[in-house]
Amino acid sequence: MTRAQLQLKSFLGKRNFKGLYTSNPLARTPEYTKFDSKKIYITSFPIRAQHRIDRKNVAWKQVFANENAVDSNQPFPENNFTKSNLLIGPELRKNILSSHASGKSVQEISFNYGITVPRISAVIKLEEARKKVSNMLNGPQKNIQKDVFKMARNMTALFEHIPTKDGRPVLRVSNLSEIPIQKETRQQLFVSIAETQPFGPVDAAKALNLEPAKDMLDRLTSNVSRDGSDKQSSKSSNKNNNSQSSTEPGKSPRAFYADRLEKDRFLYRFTDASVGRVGYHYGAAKDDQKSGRKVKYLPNGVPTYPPPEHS
Amino acid sequence: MTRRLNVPYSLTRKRIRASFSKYNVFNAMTWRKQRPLSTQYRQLFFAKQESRAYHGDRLTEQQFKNHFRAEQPVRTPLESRGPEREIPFGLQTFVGLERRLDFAVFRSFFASSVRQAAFFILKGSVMVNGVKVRSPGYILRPGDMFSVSPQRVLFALGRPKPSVNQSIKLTNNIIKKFNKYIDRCHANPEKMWKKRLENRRKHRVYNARLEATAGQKREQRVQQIKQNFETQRSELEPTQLLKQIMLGQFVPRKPELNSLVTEIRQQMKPAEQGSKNDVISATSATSATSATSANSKNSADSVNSATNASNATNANSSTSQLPQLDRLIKSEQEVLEQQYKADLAAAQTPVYDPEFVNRLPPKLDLLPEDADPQSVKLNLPFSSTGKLYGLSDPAKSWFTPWSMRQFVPTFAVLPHHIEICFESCHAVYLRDPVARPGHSEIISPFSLDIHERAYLWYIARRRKHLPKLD
Repeated sequence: MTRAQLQLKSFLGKRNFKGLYTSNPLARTPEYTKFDSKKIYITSFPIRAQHRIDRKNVAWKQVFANENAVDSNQPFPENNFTKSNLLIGPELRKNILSSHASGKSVQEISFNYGITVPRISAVIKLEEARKKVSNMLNGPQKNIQKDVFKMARNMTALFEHIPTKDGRPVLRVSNLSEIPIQKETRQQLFVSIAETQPFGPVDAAKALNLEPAKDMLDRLTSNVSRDGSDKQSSKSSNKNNNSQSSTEPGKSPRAFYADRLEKDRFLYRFTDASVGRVGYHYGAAKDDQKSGRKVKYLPNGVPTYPPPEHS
Repeated sequence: MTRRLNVPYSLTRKRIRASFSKYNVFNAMTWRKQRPLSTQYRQLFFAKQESRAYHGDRLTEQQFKNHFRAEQPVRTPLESRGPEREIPFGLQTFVGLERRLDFAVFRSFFASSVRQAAFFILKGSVMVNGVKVRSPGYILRPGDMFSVSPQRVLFALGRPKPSVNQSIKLTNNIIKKFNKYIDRCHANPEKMWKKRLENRRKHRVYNARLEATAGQKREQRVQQIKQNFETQRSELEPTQLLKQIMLGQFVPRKPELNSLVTEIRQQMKPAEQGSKNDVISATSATSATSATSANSKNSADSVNSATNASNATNANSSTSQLPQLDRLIKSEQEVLEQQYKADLAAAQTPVYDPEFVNRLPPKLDLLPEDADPQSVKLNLPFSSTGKLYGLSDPAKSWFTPWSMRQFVPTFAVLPHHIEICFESCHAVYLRDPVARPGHSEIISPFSLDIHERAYLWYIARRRKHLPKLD
């Protein structure tokens, strides 16, 4: 047995008569009496200098000792930017669903509970899916019902729930006033202005050809989901949707109306197009090895490789 | 074409993979590699090599480059609170991979590794918006709902199903352990009784049913004691007590009060000489005014009036004994309460029952090596199924009854960009993961400097003119 294998054996610890690792706290699952959902990550058991026997060997019993353990929500010791999310608990979920059933829009619910609009819509969507699946589990798939429920119980026990008081989150779950940083703002831009001319954030947005942050935030919160599943919100914010349909973000319009000027000699006008995206690709499509080709999926889930579109 | 890995969890190379394997946990915990600093190429190559082992080790370099984009989606709050924190732009290097269906399935805990997630997709167990999709590289868009067959999820997250031979071995281990326990119970019953109680206290969930029946019996006993206490206390009402003393039925619980009772009885002799009916009528006549009185003064008065009514001639002689009678009542109440508390405590702590050894089930024979899993019927008291260990339902592809795979919680990081419903094995892809000041939604074991160097590696080798994502 190599040194690394010996270390692995010592790390895993002994197996009991049922074949389970009992001395390693990382092996614990919610079925264990000693399971602690705040001490499941490897960061909860830091390897300190005194635990190292030499450069490569570690005294694992000391590492896994109770007095060495710390509470941690950070899964990886090297990366302190990654944190585990908080789960929407059953009580909060129930409240969200009941307020949706009472006719409140997704935006209103989002504002009330401090949870982002897509997450609220997802909770509502998943509840419908859950009902469908529970019908299946009560009917044709009854033989796996117990196992599925046990799995769900165990998996939800792994994570911390959003702390609530009177059915509402105690702390802010997510920041609702977040906007994406535009790539234009990440590089320098020099604008020459008069010394006396004031220059504020609105002027900066104009110079960079960006929309004001408030407009962007409105657009982000009203544009709920791609497939329009959120009917409540679409009813309530009809005005917004109408204005969006003409200028869908991220999609350039294929055709547009333009005023015909008196001096125009021709009905058509030329617009800019990138080489390689215009016209059909000639040759056998199946032999095409062009890298990074766009894949489109038919409604039945079959991938297709369409020829480049006209711009 | 999938990139093959012959030794995914090499203990010497020590690469961290996107998997719940126990070997991976060990490698992640002991990962402390020195960053090469000699040349920039080595720095970038090391960063790329290590980070790509976790982010899409299944993809070849060419396949990965099709997902790599120079853009790094980042968000920032409108209002500024406190000191500015660093925005981890570099961590967005692998954001393109998180859009892939196989990654999303792994991040939602519906598979134990990205490779397994890709396998499930290829086998047609994954649906996106209700349509079966067989491409692991399917790009999810915000709002897409995907689901995995619950059977696959149970298989992925459950303990590995043992073979029949393994199961027979494990079951025999359990039987041996059980027989040993029975032997020890017969040898040292009292010690084992205590151990049994201790185990029940420790494993509350496991022994919930046993505890519930024991709790019911205990509750009945407590109710009985409470009832007895109430009746005895009502007997200590001044009129009742006096009646009992007069009728000669009362025996004090404290021996030093015997003389007091006999003294009172002697003073009441004329009443005693009369018929018993007289006494009863006399005490009942005064009960309307005195029965409910609680304090000592009232009780003294009531006793006084009772004696007056029963025997007017003896009134003067009895008054001297009244304070003593009051003391008698108090001391009797004290004794009764002490007894009640002791009884209650005794009822709540189980009493050692030496007969429990005789109620234990008999020892079991070991199973033969060629036992048929279908016909096995075990009489283990703690086995609800009576089948082979882990094979209660041999037709299922997972350990039955389902039990969670060990070491899964170690890498269980709840994603910010996916909302999961475990009960239905459905999840919704909310948006592409973003970075914000002090936080990144990309789940990665590597630090920012490694990601920044990996970004530098790929930005120089990226494919330009890739189609824009919707």
